[in-house]
Formats: sequence, structure tokens, C-alpha cells
Amino acid sequence: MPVFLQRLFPRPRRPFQWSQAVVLLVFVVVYAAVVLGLELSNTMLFVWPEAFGLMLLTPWVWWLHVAGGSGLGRTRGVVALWTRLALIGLFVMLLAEPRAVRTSDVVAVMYTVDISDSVGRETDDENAQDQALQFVASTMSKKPEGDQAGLVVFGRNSAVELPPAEVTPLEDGILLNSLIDRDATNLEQSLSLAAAMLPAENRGRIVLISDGTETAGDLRGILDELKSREIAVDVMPITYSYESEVWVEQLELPRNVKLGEPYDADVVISSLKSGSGNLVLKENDRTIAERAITFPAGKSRYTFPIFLRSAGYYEYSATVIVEQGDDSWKENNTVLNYLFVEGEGKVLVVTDPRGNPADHESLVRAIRENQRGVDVRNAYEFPRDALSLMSYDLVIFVNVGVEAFDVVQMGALQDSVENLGIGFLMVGGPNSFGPGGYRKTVIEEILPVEMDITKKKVLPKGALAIILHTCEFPEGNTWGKRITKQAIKVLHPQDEVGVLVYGSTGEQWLFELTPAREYASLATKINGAVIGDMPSFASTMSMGLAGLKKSDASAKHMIVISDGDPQPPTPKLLADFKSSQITISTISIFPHGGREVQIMQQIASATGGRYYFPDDPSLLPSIFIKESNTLKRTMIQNETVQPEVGFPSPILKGLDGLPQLHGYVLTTAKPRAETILQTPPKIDKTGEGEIDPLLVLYKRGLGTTAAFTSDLSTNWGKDWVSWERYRAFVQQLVTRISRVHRKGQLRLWSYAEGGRGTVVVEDFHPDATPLNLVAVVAGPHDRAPESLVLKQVGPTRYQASFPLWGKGRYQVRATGEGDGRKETTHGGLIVSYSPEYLKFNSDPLLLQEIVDRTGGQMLDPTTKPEQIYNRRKPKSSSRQVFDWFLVGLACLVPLDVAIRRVQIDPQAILAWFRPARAASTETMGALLQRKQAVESRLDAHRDDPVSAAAPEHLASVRAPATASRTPIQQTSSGPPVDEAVDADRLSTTERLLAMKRRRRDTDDDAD
Amino acid sequence: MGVGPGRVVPRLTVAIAALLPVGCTDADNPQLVPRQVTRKSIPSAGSTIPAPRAVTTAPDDTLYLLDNAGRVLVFDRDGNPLRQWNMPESEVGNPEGICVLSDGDIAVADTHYHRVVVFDEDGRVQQMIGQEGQDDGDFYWPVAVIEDDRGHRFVSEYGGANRVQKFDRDWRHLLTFGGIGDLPGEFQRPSGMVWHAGRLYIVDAFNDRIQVFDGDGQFVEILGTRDESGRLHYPYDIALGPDRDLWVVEYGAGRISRFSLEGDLLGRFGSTGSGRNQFGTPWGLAIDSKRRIWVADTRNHRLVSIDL
Repeated sequence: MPVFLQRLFPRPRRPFQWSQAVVLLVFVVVYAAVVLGLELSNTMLFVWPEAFGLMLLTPWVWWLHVAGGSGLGRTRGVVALWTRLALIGLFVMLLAEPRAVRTSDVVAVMYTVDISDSVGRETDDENAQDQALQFVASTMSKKPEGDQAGLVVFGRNSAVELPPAEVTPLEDGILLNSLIDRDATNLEQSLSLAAAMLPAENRGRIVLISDGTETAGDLRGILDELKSREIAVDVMPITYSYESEVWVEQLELPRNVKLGEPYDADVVISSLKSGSGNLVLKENDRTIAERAITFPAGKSRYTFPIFLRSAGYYEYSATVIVEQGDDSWKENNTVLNYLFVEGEGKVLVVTDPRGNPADHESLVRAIRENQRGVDVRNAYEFPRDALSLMSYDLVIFVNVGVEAFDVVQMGALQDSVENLGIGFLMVGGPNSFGPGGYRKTVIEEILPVEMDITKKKVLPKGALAIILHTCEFPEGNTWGKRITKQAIKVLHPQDEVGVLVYGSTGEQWLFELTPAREYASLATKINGAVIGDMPSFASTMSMGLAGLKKSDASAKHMIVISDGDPQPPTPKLLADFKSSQITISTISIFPHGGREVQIMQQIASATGGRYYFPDDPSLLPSIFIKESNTLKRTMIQNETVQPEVGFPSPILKGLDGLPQLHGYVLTTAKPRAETILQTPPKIDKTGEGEIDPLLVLYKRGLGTTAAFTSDLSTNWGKDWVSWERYRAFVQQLVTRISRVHRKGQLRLWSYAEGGRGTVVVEDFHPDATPLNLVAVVAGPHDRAPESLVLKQVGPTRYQASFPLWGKGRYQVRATGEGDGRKETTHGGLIVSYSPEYLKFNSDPLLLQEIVDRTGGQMLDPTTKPEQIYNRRKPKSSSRQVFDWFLVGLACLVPLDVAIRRVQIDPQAILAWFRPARAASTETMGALLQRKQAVESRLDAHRDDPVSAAAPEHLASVRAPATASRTPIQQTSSGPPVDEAVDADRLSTTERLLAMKRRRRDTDDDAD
Repeated sequence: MGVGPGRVVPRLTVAIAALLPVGCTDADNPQLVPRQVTRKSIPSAGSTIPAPRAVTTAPDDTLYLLDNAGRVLVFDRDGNPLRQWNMPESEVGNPEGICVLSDGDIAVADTHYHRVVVFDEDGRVQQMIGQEGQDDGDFYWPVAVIEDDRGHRFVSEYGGANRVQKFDRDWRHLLTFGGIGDLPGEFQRPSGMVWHAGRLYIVDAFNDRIQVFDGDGQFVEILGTRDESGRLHYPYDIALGPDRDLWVVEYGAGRISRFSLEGDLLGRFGSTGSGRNQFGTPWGLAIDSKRRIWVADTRNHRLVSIDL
């Protein structure tokens, strides 16, 4: 036998007997049984079964044990071998990548409902979308216990309305809270989202309710993925086919116009069959032409003369009106387009819809006297797109609060300032800047001042507790959250705010009183809040009272928003509020039938608060802001100041002897801003002077913005209005911040065609040197603007196209650079209706393909829930259990070592439990006795140094002592000693001692 | 010499090990182990799956249920829908209490319309009692209605008066008792009642207790506040069990609790949540003759039956 084999398989010390192989055999059989059992019973699977080949090592390990002998006793030897084999077995299992298998009989169904425009439209009988949602609710309510159901809705985008769950709360119906762009149908994204929501461990199924008219995305890719995940798609088709349809395809307007000359507007109409009707053309919402028309099947063109008398922005609409039976969809009967005639820009003065006209009258008069055109509009009429603002050079907000605007309007203003170069001025008043709620808005971003006045030395702080009862009107909780966030924005950063709700665990602080400066974290908590139906005001009000009492704020206030049906607080609790000088304002919002307002009224009147009963949730923000402002009067300075000139500016050219102002709003000028007028320094106790800005200017994007923190009316600015230089001041201010017109050589136009927009720029420069032209397109649906590089398609023409993203207005800004020139030009286009309205037939073939390729089935409105839920086939899923095996190994390794190396003495363990005191005394007594005896003998020995008995005595004394110490050594840190070996060793010692004695005796004899 | 650490540690270890199998017994919070629990949604209404609010059983174990879609739903003893009808009006709000009277009619506390509506068993309106107000015979948010063994009817109200009114079988007003507060005899939402052996047990929701009155409205005693273990959290409804015991459903704690007539806690089941043995703000409960408890699991929008 080769040497290395001899080393690997050494000769056994004792003769080998085949009976010793039984252990190995039994182990192999048991191990194989366990592994196969786990696999076959579907409890566990091994991803890399090849690893079990390593079990061939077990005979070698066994042989080493048999041949080498471990020096262990028979039983321990067998245990040690088993442990070692188990260790190897477990290690091999670990290498085989074990996964625990879980079998689930739960069916999870994601309903995926198309709510795009083509489906959500009224038909003769009933809205198809409502029918679909009723089908969802009906089958969902009858789903078997334990099964899960969820809901995805989709159009252009998709959103999860209900994640898959056993409990499907549809108390208020399917509210469709998600913001879905309905102007397209993206089946791919919706199925992908629905599939992603299905839990991997359960049998997943999708119920698709759609017309199948795919206008975005590509479905084919996702079907294979669904098939591979064994997700069947059941389809309930929404079918329609229209034979009568008329739509306006285009409204063509001239590209370049001159004032005072007639032009043509061409309207192109398409129809599936011939018919008649009226065609109406409107200019800025005013009808300028109406004509009875008779149209054939196909396209027809109609021409209207138009005539422009003054510069400005003109929006035209062409609408075809036909008999009801002759048309299926009304949404595609109107097309919009616009004309922009450049001229001297006007000023747009924006006012508070419920404000005082005196706020803006003096200012408007002064601008008009300066020969500038002025449009006065209230905030509700403020345009929602930058395109409509193109005819203005300056926008002025006069004492109007943020609550009058929505996000889209503010975004349009920001866009027009930054990209179109329109000027913006905010004129102060109690409803402007910080008190107007502009903190942390895009308006604050574009203004040259910040509303945050933390750096100033202010003023006593307030504490506000808000109780949010679930608001049971549609999207009520969304409203509640939004207005709470707005209210917090109005607060001073050091003011404290807390919100109380009835959450998943009952009454609770969503967050306790926290400085409003932590707005970001508070907003996150508000967004994620679960607001339940609060059964009683008493508990939350008590919690709020306790919190407010603890606060060191000087003004404390509570706001309760509710439909008014929780149990009212006790009179005792209300008295407690009153004695603590905490006021409560209550807001009844959609109380049950408008009747149950008494409780809310009583709470407010009992504590000295205000009571509100708004009939429209849109009024809630202003109420909240007003209520928050009860803590916030400190931002308004009702004091007379003499303005001082700061940064020199042409605005003040020729203006001396500025009159006093009788109030202003506290703000902080931004670092890069020019503070042109400011208050005189206010010297505080520390001797530091504080200056507040009154008129500040800065450049923002292409435009200039300004803040006048006092007002220009007969209130704070009464001395200014009556000042003879008022008109001159207004003129110079308006001129400084208005848009500056530069005569450019670039002309831009853009148009929409077949789902794509095209931008064309013509260069009229005499040299027409090549330019690098880049266009930025901003459009609807809050989508980030898109950048385009225009290609030169002719000597002076550049062009690019882009995919449109739905119905709405698109603004285009093109910038050309090259040969020392840099020029910007603007334009835009309007997509009047979504391409969904050009689909006149549903697509059952596509839906059938979905069913066929995913193994689903076709459903209809009479489908029973069992047909959806009862196709059961338990689904197995697995997860890694690597960690459990590691834990097993971690236990086995020390055990393996311990069995071979650690000797446990049962006597020692038993000794722990013997009565300690008695044992101790006995041992000590015995030892003492023995010590005395030994000492007396030693004494005797000293007296008789040649006594031969001494070694024996000593030995007899040491032996028991050694024996009694042994167990302690063995169980502590001493080397492990086998009993047998120990016995051998003792006998060797005895033998050596005996030998020593014999030698000594021999020597003695020799002596 | 004392006992060294070398002996203390092993003894302590053995002592702890010996205690391990004993585990944590919860004598203060005895748990009920039902034979079977089933959960199902109630029938949809349009695109909504409404939430059940109040349940009651007839002597033949027919189940009557109110939901927040303004419907009265009737189920057989196994929970299969039999018929349903709508409240005369429900735009303002939905009813919260229901009772099968001894003459077979069904009385519904039409909370937000401040009245009691009596239907026959097919849902035809027989009578409407009361109007908005706080005088005797008027109602302000009536929330529960029951009948005693002599045909007297008790109606409890929250929101305004927080009181209980007693009527004879012809709905003539007999007496009024209660009022808002937390003193004995006062209520904060008396939201469920049960009559047994001359005593009227009323769950006083936001005072977290059960109050006991005699037939004349005289306060007798308070249950549910005796010790910490029997504490209630917003008890919303109460029913008499088959073993002459009281069953209470707790809106705040999401559970049902069983008490002896003397107020000793005998068992509990459930917790707040949406899982298998959980309830979300449960509103009502009823017990039939087959020892089956029906719970209106309101926030989870399901009807739960528990077989004892």
C-alpha cells in the first residue's frame, strides 16, 4: 500500500472487526432517510444537491476513529463518532444550500381596473367604470375566508388603491384616492404593478377589467413574466364600438400676425358618418363666430376670419355641437389653440377674493396713470399655466394669502418668472408673506425675502394642539392632512404644535407638542398617519389639555376638526380648559346632514374659541391658517417707521422725503437680495441694532422679483398714497421689475400631431450663422421639463420632436448660442383632449391574448366569486434557512470538542448539592484532625529523625488530599484526564514510590 | 463560612430551569379558547363593502345586522344572507342599535335621525317614535334599544343627554335616568344594554364600566372597575350568555370579555388588529341559543362568529 494511503488510512491499533462498521452504516442510512424525507415531504429542498457527494468523506472519518482510537471509553467513543459524523452531515447540508419550503393554499387576487378616459365615460346605460368597481366590491365581499384581495387602478400610470390583504375595508366604496392620469391606457405598467404586489408565497391571480385599448407601454413583455411566475390573468372585458362619432381634429391659426389685419382660422372636423351641427369659435371665452354646418364622412375644413386689435394672449376654441345620437364622445368635440401678439406687456394685479378693494385700488390707479395696461383678477381666476401669463410683464400679489391658490397656479407663476422673465412683486398686508402662509412655498423660493424670522428677537411663543377626527367626506383624510401641514407652516418656527388622532391603537398623539421648525419630520408623520373614527372627544381633549398645560408657551390654543358625532366632553373638562386659559376653536366639516353642529358650537363657546361651519372643504385651509395665526400676530408689526434707503436703486431716483409707513410684515432679506428700503435700526437691550427689510429686489431666473413688506394702500401706506411722488415711485418700481423686451431674431412655433409634439425655430438673423439650439419643454402632470436638442433641417430652420404626455398646455423655451450670439425665444402648444378619445372600439383581441398567454379565463358581470377564487392549487415557496444550519453547526462544534476533551465527574456535580455547611465542617474537621496527627507525628519524627515510617505516613496523608482535589481540577481549568489513564498514572506513581523506597532500603542496607 | 458562588450559580440555574416549564401563567387575564372562529364580509352595496355596526339575534337564532350603508341585513343561523332592507333615510347618518321585540317586530335606534324606527320582520315600517330633543320622549342620538321581560323598552342616548329612557310596550314614556358625567348613575355614551333578572346592565363606554340599574332606573352598582384585570376599554355592547354570564365587546381594546353577573372577569378573547383572532373597533355583539357569539368587527368590515 502506498505511503500516503497508509497515512490516510492508518493501521488500526486493535484488530478491526466488521461490527465496528455498524455505526457508519446506521449513520448513512439515517442521514439519507432524513435528507430524502425532508425533500420528499416538501419540507425542505436543497439547491445544490451535488454537495452531498462530500459525504464520501464519512467513511474516512469513521476509519480514523476506528483505527486511531481516540483514547475514549467505548460509550463516549461511539457518541464522539456520532457527533463528528453529524457535524459533517450538517456541514454538507449547509453546503447544499437548504431552503425551507412553505406551502400555501391562500389565493391572492389583485383586481386591476382601467379607469382611463375611454372607460370612465358615461354611456347610455351606466358608467362602465362604476360597473367595474361594483363587480370588484361584490366579488371581494364574497371571497373565501383567508384569501387575499387588493386593487390597482390605472390609466397612464398605475397606483395601488388597496394592497392585497384578507381584510378589505371598502367602507366608502372605492374612492379612487390615487392620482391617475386618465388620458392613456398603460396595461403593461398596471399588470407589472399588480404582479409586484402579489405576495410570493401565495397563489397569485390578476383580475383585469379593461377595454384593452393600449395607448402607452408595451404589454407583450410583461405577459411572459406573468406566465413564468404562474400568475394567471382573468379578464373582464369592457366592450364598446361606436359608429357615430364627430370630433374636431385641428384649429389652425396663423403663425405671425400684425395688429389690425384680418387672418383666417381653419377648423378641421372629422366624422365617422355624415351629419350636421353647429361649429362655434370662441376667442378668450367669448363667442366670435357660430355657423351651421353639414359635414360628410371623413375630414372637412371650415374657415373663419379673425381680427386682432391689440397685443396680448388670445386663446381660441373651436367646438362642434351635434345632436346627441350623432356623437358618442363629447370630450373630443373641442380643440384649443392660441395666438400671442407681442406688444407692451401689461401688469396683472392679483387680489384676495374676499379682500378689501381698498388694498389694491390706489396701486392700480397709479399704474394706469403711468399709461400701463392693468388687469385685476382675484386669486381664483389666476391662470394655471405659464402660457396664459405670457402677455404680462409683471404680476403683483396684493395682500392675498396662499390659501387662495393651488399648487398648479403657484407653479405657473414660478415658471413664468424663472423661464419667461416675467416680474413678480408681493405687496404686504396682514395676509401676505409669513402671515399669508407663504412659508416653505415656491412663492417664498422666488421672492427676495424669507418668511422665517428666527434670527430676529421675537416674541412670546404659542402652542397649538390639533385634533383630527376622521373626515368622512371624499378624500377627507387627505384634506385633513394637507390643511394641518399648511397650518404648521404658518406657525413661527419656535411655536409648538401637536396633533391628536384616533389611530390604530386608539387615542394617541401623532406627535406631541414639537417646535414648528421641525416641519420636515412632522410632515412625514402627518403623511403616514392612520386616522380612525374617533368615538369620543373627551380622551383626546384630555390628552391635549395635559400636553398644553405642560408647555411653557404664553398662548395656547386647540383646533378640533370633526363631523361632530363623537361623544362630547364633560362640562368639567371644558371648565378645565377655560380655567387653564386654553381656547378651543371647532370646525364642523360635513356634519351628519348639517344638523349635528351643537356639540361643536358648545365646545367653542364654552372655551372662548371660534366655531366654523364651512360648506366647502376648500375653505378649510384659510380657516386653519387663520386659526394658526391666532398664535402668530407677532409677524405683523403695527408700528410707524420712517423708511431708510439701503442699496441705491433707480427706483428711488428723484424721490426724497419718503413718508412714514404705519405697519409692515417681518421678513428676512435673502443673502443675494438688494434691500432698497429698510426700517431704522431697533436698538435692543444688548445694544444691537436690528433692521427689517421694507423693499427688497433680486434676480430670479430670467425674471426679477420684489417684496414690499408694507402696503401701498390707505392702511399702512396712507401717507404714501397721499404723497405727491407716489405715482413716480410706483412707475419706477414697476419699470424696474417688469420683463424687459429684447428684439430677438429667433421665432418659435410648435404643434402636436399623433401623440408627438414638434418644436420648430426659425432664425431671421441676417447672417444666419449656425446655432446650438436647445429647447426645454414643460407640460402637464407635474412632470419634470424635458430638454431637447434641435437639429438644423434647413439653412435657417431647426427642429425637434418629443412625445407628449397627455392633455394640457406645454410651454417651450428655446435658447440658441453660437458665434457670440445668445438668444431665447418662447412658445407653446395645447393638447386639447387625450388620445383615449380617438379610440372608438375596444380591443377584445388583445384581452383574449392576455388570457391565452397567462392561462387565465374570460369573465363577465355575472361571474361568481367562486370562479375567481376557487381554482386552487397550493403554492410552494421557499426561503433560505442557512442561518438555522449555522446555529446547528455552532452548537455541534463545541459539543464535538467537549465530548472528546472534557471529563464530567458526576461525583463533583453531586457534591454541589450536598449540604454545604455539614460537608464543609466535616472536611475541615477531618483535615484539622489529620493535620494535628501529622504534626504530632512530624514532631515525633523530628525527635526521631531516622524513623522509617515517615514516608508512608506522608504518602497516606497526601493521597486523600490529592483525591479530594482531583474533581475540582478536572472541572476547572486543569487538563482533561481520563479516569483509566488517571488510574494508570496513580499506579505508576505508586510503583515509582515503591521503587524509591526499595532503593532507599537497599542503600540503607548497604550503609 | 457562607455558601460560595461556585454553589449558588448552579443551584440558581437549576431553580430557574425548574420554573421554565411552568411558564407565565396569566391568572389575571384568563383567555377564552373558542372551538371555531369564522370571519366573512357582509354583502357589498354598490362599490362599497360596508362595515357592520350592530347585531342582534331573534329567538329562532335569525341574525339581524345594521351596517354603515343604512341597511338592515337578515341572516340565517349560519350567517347566510336571507333578506335586507334600507332605513327610510340614511343620508344624514346610519343607525347604531337594533333589537328584536317580543312581538316579532324589529326596533332600530335611528341615531342620526333622533328616533326609533319599528319594522315588521319583512322590513315594512310600523312606527317611528320620537323626534330630536332632550325632553322626555324625545331623542338625541339614540344608540341602543332593548326590551325587558315585561315588554318595557329602554332606549339609551349619547351625545347630548347621555341618558336612558323607559317606555311601555305602546312606547309611552315612563321614566328617564342618567346624565353626562362620570359619577355613579351618570354616563358617557351608554351604548349597549341587557336586561336580566330585574336588573338592567348598561355599558358606559367612555367611563369604561358596566353600570347596573333596577327596573325603576335606580342605580345599583358598577361592574368592571373592581380591579385592574377586569378593566374595560370603551365597552360598546353587552349581551347575556348561555351560562347566565355577561359578554361585553370592547371598541377600544378590540376584544370580547366574559363576566359573571357579579362582575368577575371569566375570560377574554381577541386584541386590536386585523388578524385571525383580532378585532378592529368592534361595535356590537349578539349570542344565539347555540352558544355562538356574533361580533360586528367594524373596522375590519367583517362579521365574526365564535363558537364557544
